[in-house]
Formats: sequence, C-alpha cells, structure tokens
Amino acid sequence: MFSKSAFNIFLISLLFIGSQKLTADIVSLDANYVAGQTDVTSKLNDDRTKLTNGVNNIRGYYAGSVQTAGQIKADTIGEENCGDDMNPRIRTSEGAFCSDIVTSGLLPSTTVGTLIGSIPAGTAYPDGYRVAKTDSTAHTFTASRWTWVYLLTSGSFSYTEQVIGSSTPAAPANSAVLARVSTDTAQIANVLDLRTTNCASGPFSAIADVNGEANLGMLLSKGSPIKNSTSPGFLQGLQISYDTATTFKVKSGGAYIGGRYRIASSDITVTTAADNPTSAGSGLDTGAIGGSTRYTVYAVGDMDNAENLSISYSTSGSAPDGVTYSRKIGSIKTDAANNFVSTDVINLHSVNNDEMITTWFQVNGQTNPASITNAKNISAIADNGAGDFTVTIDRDYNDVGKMAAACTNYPNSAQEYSHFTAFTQGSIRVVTNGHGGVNADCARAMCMVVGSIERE
Amino acid sequence: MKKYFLLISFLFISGVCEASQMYAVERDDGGISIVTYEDGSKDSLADVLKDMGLMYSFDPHKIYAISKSDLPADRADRRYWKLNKVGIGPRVLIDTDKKQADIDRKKNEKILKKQKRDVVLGKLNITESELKDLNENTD
Repeated sequence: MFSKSAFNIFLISLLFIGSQKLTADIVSLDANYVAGQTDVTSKLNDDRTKLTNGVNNIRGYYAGSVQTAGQIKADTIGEENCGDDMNPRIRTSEGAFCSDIVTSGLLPSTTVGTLIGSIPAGTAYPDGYRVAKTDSTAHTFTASRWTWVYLLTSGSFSYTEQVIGSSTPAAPANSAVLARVSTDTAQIANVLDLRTTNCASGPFSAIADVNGEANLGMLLSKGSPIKNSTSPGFLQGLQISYDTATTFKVKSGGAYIGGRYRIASSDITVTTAADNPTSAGSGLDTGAIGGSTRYTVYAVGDMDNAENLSISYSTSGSAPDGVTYSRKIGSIKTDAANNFVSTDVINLHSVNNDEMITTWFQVNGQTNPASITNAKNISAIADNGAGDFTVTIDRDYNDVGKMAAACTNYPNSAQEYSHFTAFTQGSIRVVTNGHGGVNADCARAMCMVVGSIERE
Repeated sequence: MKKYFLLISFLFISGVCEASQMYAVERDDGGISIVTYEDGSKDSLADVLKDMGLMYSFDPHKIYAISKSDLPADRADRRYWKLNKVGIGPRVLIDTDKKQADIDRKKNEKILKKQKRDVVLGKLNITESELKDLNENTD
C-alpha cells in the first residue's frame, strides 16, 4: 500500500490535469493501483514523471514557424479565450492595422489658470503593443514650453520639453506620439493633436503597391518637373502670375517641400506685407518692397502639421530668411516705382502660355486655291490672290500687343520674302513678294506665332 | 444680328452646311478670296469671316459655297478671278475684260515709255545701240 501523502499527491495531480481546459495530448499513467499493489514506489515515480513532463511540455517547441511537440495543439485555443492584448478580433475592431496608432482617447486638453493637465483614458498601440489606459493621468507641465507627450509600450507616459518654436525632437524608443502641449506662464494654452488615428493616413513610406517596390514617399520625393532643378519632389500647380501693382497670385496646387507635403487649396494672393511662415502667412521675406528688384518666390511649409503652404518672396536666391522648409517656384520683379510688373514672370516648374509657340502653319501658295499643308491652331485659310493669303487663328490670342510672329518661305529661288499686311488676335494676312516687288505664290510659306492664349 | 440671320439663311438656301469647306467671297475691293474652312475648328464660319475682315462685306450675293471644280484650272490669271453671279457654270470665272484692260494698259505704257525715250534720245543725239549699252531697261 502506498502512503497517504503519496496518494494525496497523486490525487492532486489528477485534479490538476482535470482542471486544464486545454485540448492536449493525453497523459497516460500506469494501470490502476490494486489492493496489495507491489512496486508502488516505482509506479508512483513513473506517474510523477509523466505528469511533470506533460505539464512542462504544454508550450511545446517553437520550430521557427510551427509549434510542435507541445501539449497545446493547433487550432485548439478559441478567440474567446485570447486576452485582449493578443486577440485579433479586438485589434481588427479597434482598427489597429499599423504601428503607433491611437484608437481612442489619450489627447490632453487645454486648461485655464493651471499648468496641471490630464491625459484621459484611451488605447494605443505603441510599436504594435496594445496599451489600454483605463484611467486619466495627471501631469504638471512646465510653463512657457512646448511639451511632446508619448505613450510607451510599458504603459507609462513620456514628456519631452523644448523651447517654444523648436523643431520636433526625436521620439523616445518604444513609443507612440500623442500631442504637443503648449503652455504660457499659467496654463495649457494650446494642444496640437499628433496622434495617428487612422492607419490609412500614412506615413507614405508605409504605402507601396507591392512589398519591396518603391513606396509612395519615395515617389513623391524624387525627381523634379524640370531638368536641373535643385529642389526635388512632386510639384503641381503653384504657377505665379501678375495680379496688380501691389499683389501677385500663386495658383492652387501641391508640393513636396523638403520632407513636408503641403497644398494651396485655393489661389493665394500675395501682398507686400511681411510673411509669417510658422503661421502660414504669405508675404515679403524681410524689409520693405524695393524698386527694380527681382524677387525669388518660394513655397513654404513651416507651419507644423498643417495642410496649407504659404508663399514667401525674397531677394535671396537660395532661401527666405528664417524659414526651414522652402522650395523655389519662380520669380517676379518690380519696376522703379516699387510696383510688380507683368513682364518676365518666371515659373520654374511650368511653361507660361506666352513662352510657347501656340500657332504655326505651313501654306502652299502654289496649289489652287492656296492651301494649308499642316498647321496648329488654325481654323481657316483665305486665298486672296497671287502670293496673298489670310489664316484665321482658332483659339484667339488674348492681346495683340503680346504676340510675336515670324514668317519665311521656301524655296527662295525667286528671292521671295513673306511679310504681314494684317495682324490681329484672330488672323494674320501674309503676302509674299518676289523679284521686283510683284506678289508671287511660293511652295512653302512657314510662320510661327508666340503669345498667350487660353488653353483647355 | 441681321448679318448672322442672312448667313444662316444663305447656308440653308444653298443647301450647304459648314462641312462643305470652301467658299468664294467677293471683297469690297472687287477681288475674291477663296476661304477653306478647317474641320473641327473652334471658330464658326461667321467667326472666320469676321476675323478675315470679310464679314463686313457679307451679302448673300457675295459669298458662295464652292468646290474645286468651280475654280479656273490654274493660277496664272489669279488676279482676274471674279464671282459668277449668274449661276450657270463655274462660280469663279476669269474677268476677261479686266484682263484685257490690263494688257492694253501695259501695252500703252510701253508705247508711252518708248515715246518718251525717243524724245530724250533725240535731245542726246545718241543711237539706239549706244543707249542699250548704258543698260537702260526698255521693257
């Protein structure tokens, strides 16, 4: 017979095994004990060993991708038994498809008359670890500072203080950023929400069509619309145009500006007032507007976490003074009376209409009637007589004073020369004179026109 | 407005739409312009005539839709083209009267020039061949 204590151990072991709700390998013990059992000690030790090994082998051995030889078998743990920290259903329902996302709460608010702030309860996934704060957390912020607030994987908060106006500091390890708290001498004056609340919102470096291929951040930051630009990256719109003697306009558009992505959601009217880059205010870089001066125009993205860019223009050809994120987009000049002028506005990443050959044509004056061999922006031709034709321009020019045209003819064996006898926004009359000033039909009269027209 | 109405009426009466492409237009200076209208243009025919300065002379009797067969075979007498308003035969004819008048005028000019030259020669007491040596243009 075995001792009472041995029996108790055995009984407890049975209870232990029976209490497991795991579906596990069956732990087989020796055959039942019978009255007058011999070699009891050996049998008990045998059973003890089997029980111990069974319990110790619950985890099994992780062989890289498959958990093998363990008591816990595949597809045996239901989702309902998973803790929230590892439950895929919880992660999915909270939208935690990316790291550092904040799925609820955790945004401090402003205060009145006190520097003691509160970070409310909420849930976040710093580095992909789920951290649920069930209570609010108080913190006394330092006066007249910017304080960046982070949630760590440990569940603690981290605070990084900087002088107001400082650039964004490096985030601590194992953290998700929550906010930038701005204090004055007595209270929390402003809270900038820096939480990532939506995985679809970026970063661009995480968005790629196929794993391993160039991501969206790379595509938007490389290359330039013009060949020798010193300012790379995406740029659309943002054309500069003259407006009045004291204003110019920048068209709506978007640009990559030194690591930041900004847009002008509508056309920007830029005055001669001073700029204010950190508040997205457009204007003159330094000093007062000068006469007979060419100003370089920049798209600026200094306002933090903002959609919109601002415009600064400067006598500096490299960057506006005191601006961190800027991108050169063109230039405009003033006359001697300090007024903006419409001539020679330069857009670095666009071609102005008046910089393009917007009309050209080749006419054979020797066909009957004179005919267009080929043309761009011509609606009709009139054969007026020998060596005399008129072409009408399909999309008329805006101002006959802002057009220029030139014609020549080929072959020139009869010393022919072509010239204009009428020139309007909508038509050009060309006469070809031959030897002795007599009109002569030529095989190819070729003309080009430069000027500004409205384009589709 | 009246001009546009007349233009539309002309197009309707002549059974022509802008797709016909070619028109003969009599100008106020008496000459005619042959207008070829390009398919797909943003300008309407009226816009084209206006831009060419031909709209002011718009008159149903001064503009006709034509085809190439309405034109004289070559351009040698281009300066003498005129509209055939009778309606029989090609729309564009050679104004033979004008052409003859030009020929006669040039001939008379030549005669007059020769007469003047002879008067001068008479004063200079030089021969014809001596005058020619001076490379005088007697044409």
